[in-house]
Amino acid sequence: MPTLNHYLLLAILLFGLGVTGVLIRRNALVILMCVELMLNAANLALVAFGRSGGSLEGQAFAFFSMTVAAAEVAVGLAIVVLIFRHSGSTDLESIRLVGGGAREEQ
Amino acid sequence: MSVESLALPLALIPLLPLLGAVLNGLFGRYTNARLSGALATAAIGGSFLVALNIFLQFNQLPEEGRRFLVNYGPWMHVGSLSLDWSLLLDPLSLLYALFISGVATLIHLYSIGYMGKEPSFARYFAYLNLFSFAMLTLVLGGNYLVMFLGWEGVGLCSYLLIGFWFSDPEKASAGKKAFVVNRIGDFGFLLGAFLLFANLGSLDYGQVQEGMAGLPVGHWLPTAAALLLFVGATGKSAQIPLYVWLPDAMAGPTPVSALIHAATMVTAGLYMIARNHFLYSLAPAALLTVAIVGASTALFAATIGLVQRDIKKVLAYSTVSQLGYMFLAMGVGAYTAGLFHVVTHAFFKALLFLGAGSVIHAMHHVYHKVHDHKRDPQDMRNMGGLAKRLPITYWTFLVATIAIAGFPPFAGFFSKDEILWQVFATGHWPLWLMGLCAAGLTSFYMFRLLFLTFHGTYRGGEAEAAHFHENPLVMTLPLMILAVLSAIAGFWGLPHFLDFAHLGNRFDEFLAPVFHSGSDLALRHAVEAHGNVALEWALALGSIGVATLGLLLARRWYLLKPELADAAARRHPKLHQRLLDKWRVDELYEAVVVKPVAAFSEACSRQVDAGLIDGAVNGTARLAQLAGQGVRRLQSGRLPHYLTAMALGVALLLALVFTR
Amino acid sequence: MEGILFVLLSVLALGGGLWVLLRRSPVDSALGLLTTMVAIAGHYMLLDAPFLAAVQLIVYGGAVIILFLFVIMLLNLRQDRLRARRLAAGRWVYALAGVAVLFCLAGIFLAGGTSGAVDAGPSGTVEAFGEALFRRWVYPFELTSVLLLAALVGAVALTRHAAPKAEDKA
Repeated sequence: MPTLNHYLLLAILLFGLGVTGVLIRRNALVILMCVELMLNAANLALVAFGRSGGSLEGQAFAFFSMTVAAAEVAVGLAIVVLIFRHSGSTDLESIRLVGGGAREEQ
Repeated sequence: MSVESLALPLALIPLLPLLGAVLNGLFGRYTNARLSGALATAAIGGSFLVALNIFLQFNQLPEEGRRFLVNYGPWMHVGSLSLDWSLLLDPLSLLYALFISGVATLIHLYSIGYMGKEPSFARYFAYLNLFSFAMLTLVLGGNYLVMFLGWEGVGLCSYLLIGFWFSDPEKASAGKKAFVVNRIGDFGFLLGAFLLFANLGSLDYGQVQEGMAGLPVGHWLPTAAALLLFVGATGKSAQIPLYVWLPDAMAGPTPVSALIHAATMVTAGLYMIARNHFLYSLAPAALLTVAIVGASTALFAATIGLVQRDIKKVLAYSTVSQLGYMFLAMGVGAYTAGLFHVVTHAFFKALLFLGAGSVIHAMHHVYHKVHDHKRDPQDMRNMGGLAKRLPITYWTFLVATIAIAGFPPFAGFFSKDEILWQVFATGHWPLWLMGLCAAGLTSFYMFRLLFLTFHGTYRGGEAEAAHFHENPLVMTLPLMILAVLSAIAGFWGLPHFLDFAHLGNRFDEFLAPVFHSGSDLALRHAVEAHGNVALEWALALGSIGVATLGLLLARRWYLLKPELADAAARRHPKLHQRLLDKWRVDELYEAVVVKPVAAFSEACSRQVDAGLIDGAVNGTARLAQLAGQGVRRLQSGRLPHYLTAMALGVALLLALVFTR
Repeated sequence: MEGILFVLLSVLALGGGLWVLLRRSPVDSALGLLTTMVAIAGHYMLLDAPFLAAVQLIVYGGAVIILFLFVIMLLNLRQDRLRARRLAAGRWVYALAGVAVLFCLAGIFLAGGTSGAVDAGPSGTVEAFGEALFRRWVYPFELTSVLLLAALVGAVALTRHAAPKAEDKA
């Protein structure tokens, strides 16, 4: 019989995976996926809290967070497409935000 | 009539022109001049009707009940300062509101004809309406700050309208001059208001009056406050030493000169003194200052007016001179006499300016026809014999000239004579003598103007003269109405020695509820004690005689034997040149005030600004630059670095939560 | 039964997450993400939130993953280039930061701990949840439409206006 602790542990692990993925991967698409992982981990924790706290608020919160995630993916992917058009790859290491804008790393 | 039932109509008086200004300012450029002008005229005309309606109800009230303070809500409440949006209705403010809105309506109407061909008519009418709003706010305001709002507002509109043709640098700089000179006066006004607030803790008229009630005559506080406020009045009402802006203000369109620089705005200083009469009555020294400044200005400006060649300049100096009369009246405590002259002067001086505008408009038209753009359509040396060409303008102008010169039974005689009588009866005979001389000069320069412009033959030749034709009704109708008013307004304030039918001085009675404090009454008793009917008759005949002298001399020099005038000028070339140069007061100010200030500013800009302030600013910038160069390395521009920094930051925050 | 399901679903979720992290090809990563999403939907079922589980499958399993795959196809990323540069240059330092976050979270979890059961709350059936959504949270719910519209406009505007600029560069 899983308890709240189990769910929270799972959520923490998933979240950690997401953070680590965002940090070590260099493909913008995969980084976005890892962000989705983090969001899902947070949603899971919310639903679990709501369930143990005895209200539907956790679920409602998770629901709205999914909406935000959907919007974020749409805009995020648009930006990825833009980066690709701009620099010919989705590699974030090749992007420098200062010193003359994006450029291809040799 | 109650405060509640009065609230809306009273607010409408200033707000209608404001609405007109907003509408014309926003949408005016999509209409034509006729529609835009009609809207503006309707807005101010509405104000006049509302004021008239209030006036009719007002007369049925008992004398004690003729004062309403309507509060529209708080403006600012800070510490002990509490100010409200309030309007004050009493005979004084109603009188001003009436003649301002009335004269303004006529001038708006006139402007439709005068400015009809002007491309930026909407801007013109928006300014004109905005001015009316500010002026009505000034006179209806219930405390010093609302008044100051209007005070600054009329100054702004005056600046905007003087510089209406701002593409001409001379006109733009005339606007600037008016603004700067007025700022000097406004500074005095503000200091006076601050002084009152610092000592009495209120800026409300009623509370200030109560606070003053216990003070002895000659106390320093009312004297200082009255003098500071008077500095403001000298600026706004063009008195020595701040009168210099008004003649230059003639750069604006002529209806503007009529409305702002003759009939209404320049009498704001008089209103302010009348509103603060309780203050001035407690300060004999301040009153004497007002009287001396007024009398000197009346005489001084009249001398300059003698030789000016520009038709509007003559009228401008005449305005300064007439304003001097009003201040003279105020200065001897004859508030109602001064205010009476304000009203009659508003009628005949507005008429004179509009008539001059009518002449200029016609001259302009003729020069346009003959393709001559070099000659000045305002120079009287180019005119002459226009009486036949512009009959309505001529006859109305004649009425106004007789009125200002002081011949009975036209309005100017009653008001001017009342002032001179009061001055004499209160024992200020040197000032009376100055006033009398100025009256003679007034008669001379006004008839000189009349003869040079309308009599004799046209100096541009017969062929050109054929192009003249009278201006349309929209311009001549206001002239005719004002002519009627200039002719009969004097009977509103009939002096008692002429009051054969025992009608009583209705003007005095109307204003009586305002001026009833103890010191005001003391003056009245003094006049009654000194004066007698025989003396009054003598003085009246004396001033008529002086005016006739002026008329005859002008007729001899400028109508019958024009060579005599030139001969006189040749006999006293220095004096003539001095007068033409306006006593060189502008040059004096330039040397004494403007040059040193400019030199000081120049020095500041070079030494203090460039050295100290710029040095400090550049030093700060240099410091920031050095710091930035150091920190720059942190900003690698690589996303993973930023992300890692963010993750570490999150970890740090979490750790903080954890260890707590 | 529930315990077994929980362990199974958790293993699936974490395995999917690791798959996302470690596979070279973005397509593989997307499939790993799909696994995680489905597993989390299962967790929602366990938590008695069937409506949320359905939304999870539709929004994430359906829309989001498909969108990812679609963009991958659209950009037509070349496999060899991807293979060469999978991980960031200083990956161990970066991973350390991620692990630090993980540790801190776990630390809080262990120090604070919770002891709640997860079957206390009301059931998240479609009926109950709909009742709550359209009564109590009706304004936020309506506002999400604005958010989605903004995202839609933003996405369109971003990709559309950049096109000529990219051509200039080329």
